[in-house]
Amino acid sequence: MMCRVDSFRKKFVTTHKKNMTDHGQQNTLNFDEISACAGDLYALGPDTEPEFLTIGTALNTLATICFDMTDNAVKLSTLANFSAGDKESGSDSFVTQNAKVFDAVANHVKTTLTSLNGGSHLLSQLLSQVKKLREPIRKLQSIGKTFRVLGVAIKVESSRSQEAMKGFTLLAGEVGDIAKLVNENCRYCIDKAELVEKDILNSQQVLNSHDNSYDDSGERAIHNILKSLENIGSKSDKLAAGIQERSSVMVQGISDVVMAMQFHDITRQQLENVSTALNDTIEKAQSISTLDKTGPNEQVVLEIYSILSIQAAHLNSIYEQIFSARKNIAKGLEKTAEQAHFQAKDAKMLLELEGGMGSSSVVSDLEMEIDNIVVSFTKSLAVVKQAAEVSREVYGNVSEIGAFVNKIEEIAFDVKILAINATIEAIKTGAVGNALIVLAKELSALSRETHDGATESIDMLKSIVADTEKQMEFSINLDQRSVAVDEMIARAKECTGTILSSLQVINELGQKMDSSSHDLATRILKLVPGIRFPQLMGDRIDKNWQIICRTIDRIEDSYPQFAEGNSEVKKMLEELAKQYVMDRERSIHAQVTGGAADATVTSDVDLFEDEGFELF
Amino acid sequence: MAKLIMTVDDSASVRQMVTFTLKQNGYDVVEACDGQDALTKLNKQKIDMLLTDLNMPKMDGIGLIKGVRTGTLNQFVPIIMLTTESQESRKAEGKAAGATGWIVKPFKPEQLITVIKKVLR
Repeated sequence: MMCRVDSFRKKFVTTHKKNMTDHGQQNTLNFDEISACAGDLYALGPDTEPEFLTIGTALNTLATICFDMTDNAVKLSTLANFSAGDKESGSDSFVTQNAKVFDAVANHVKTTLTSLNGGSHLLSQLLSQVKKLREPIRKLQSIGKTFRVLGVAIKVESSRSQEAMKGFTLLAGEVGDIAKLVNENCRYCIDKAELVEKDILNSQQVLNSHDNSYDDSGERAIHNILKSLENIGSKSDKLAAGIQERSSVMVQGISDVVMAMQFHDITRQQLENVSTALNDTIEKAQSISTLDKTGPNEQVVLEIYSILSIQAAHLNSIYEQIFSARKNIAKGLEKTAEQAHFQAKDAKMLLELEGGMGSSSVVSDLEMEIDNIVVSFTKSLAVVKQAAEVSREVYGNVSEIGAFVNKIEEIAFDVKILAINATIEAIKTGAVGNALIVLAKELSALSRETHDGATESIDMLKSIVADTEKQMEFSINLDQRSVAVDEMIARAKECTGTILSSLQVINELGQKMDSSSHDLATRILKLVPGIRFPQLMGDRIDKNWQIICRTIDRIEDSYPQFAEGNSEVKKMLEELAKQYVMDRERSIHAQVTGGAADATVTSDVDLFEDEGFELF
Repeated sequence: MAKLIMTVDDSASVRQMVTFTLKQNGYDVVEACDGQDALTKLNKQKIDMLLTDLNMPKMDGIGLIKGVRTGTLNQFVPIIMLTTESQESRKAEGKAAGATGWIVKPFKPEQLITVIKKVLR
């Protein structure tokens, strides 16, 4: 306090005293002026409140804009990180997930096309086997003819001696029937085999007409597009992070201003304290009538002099406080405006990034490539389904052939029994039946040939069936794969849809950010020059301060013993300073003006003890 | 539903700053210009917290706290003194009257919100 009073006195002497008229020595003190000062200073706070309310209202609007921008910045940051994964859970980014889906789809398509090529090869194998099947069946057919001839021969031989060969006439009839049966079955088998060949050839034609080569241009296009999206996402993410940070700084700037704005209430209380102190001096002055240079009057005058000195210094400090607060408020607002200016630039860059990449067309290109893949896969799948249908037909027909060949096999067994019986009967008849023995042997031989032919056919059929089953299995696999591909493509489309809507929202937020930033900067630029409270308050404080200083000067002229260095004066000043100027007021001054507290403060009261609050 | 806080101060600009700070953080606010005005409003409306200055005309902060604690509708509401004063004697007076806590001015907006959240939790 001593330092402040001394420095104020020096200031008064250098700036004001020389401009004041010499009033000479006076015996009385005119405290009407001091009374007027007290009243004016008391009214100063309420008189200037409307000015603060206006600033406060404007601040409210600015803060609302800032907080909206902060919310939007957070949304922006969340949306823009579609190119970044979640480090905590270890999950891939949206774009990477999408890329993996497309890779899986491409693999499936490639595998499907490779399988189709394999399927074509299988069909060729099948066809050649079916063609080979004709041979054993034709052999059986010719055996059937031989059965007919043999039947006729047995009939002829048996007619030579009707009595003895009666049984052989019957045999001849049976052999004739067998011949017919074998022939019919073989005919049927051949017809079926022709049908199978036709089906296979048709299927081959369909397969060969389909382009089974894999065109990877779509795959490459998709990866390029995803790469572009990743770049957009990465850059957007960085910009969004910057925007979010700036929004926080802007909010902090407003927060600083809110704190500085509180100084009006504090200053009002300080001025009320000054006013009260001045009124105290008036009371004391009423107890003396003249300025006697010694005695009890001197003590009272010393008290008055000390109080006035302290209050003048205090007013000086408040005066500085007002302008410092104004500076602090302007600084906070200008900090916010500067950030808003950069915010607008970032927002503009974001819009250019999104717009320049033609983001919505990037995504529609992606969707187009997906559709192309879908079309290609659908065509391949249709071929697969057709091949599966043919396989089922072939399987059915080949199974039927197999059934008929089995019947021929059974016939061969019957013929064998017939041959044995015929041989026995022929031997019984003696020499008459010698020719029939030969025929019976022929019959037996034919039975063996029939059996062999049937066996050969059955073996071939087994192989054909196995190959057909392979073909059917391959078709089922492809069908199942198509379900998986459908699901993947649905997911991929969903992903691209999400990316597109994210980009659209990013765009909207960027535009909001741009216009909000400009709005904020413009409002602040208008507000700052319009802050008038320092002039309004400062002028009045200065006017009252001069009046008080003049009174002090008058007292000094009458009481030269109150000069600098007087120990009694110093002691009085120290004691009264504790009463009239709280230590905390100096700290408050420092806090609201952003300056350091007075070094001579010895109070142990900190401004923000226990984090600035206390809960009981 | 947003918590309702009453702010009592004879300075309109302080009330404005407090209201602005609270509303930005999702609280509803009702204002009163002195202790008398506050008590009148508190007899008709339930609130979740009271923030009051100490030195006010007509009825000061201590008088208001005593009035609230003897009332019915908001008898147990948390009361925080928001004032420039920090002498221990004044704090003791506030505590004896029934205040829950004490915040010194000038306050940082985030500090005010921290205290409110602590108390309302």
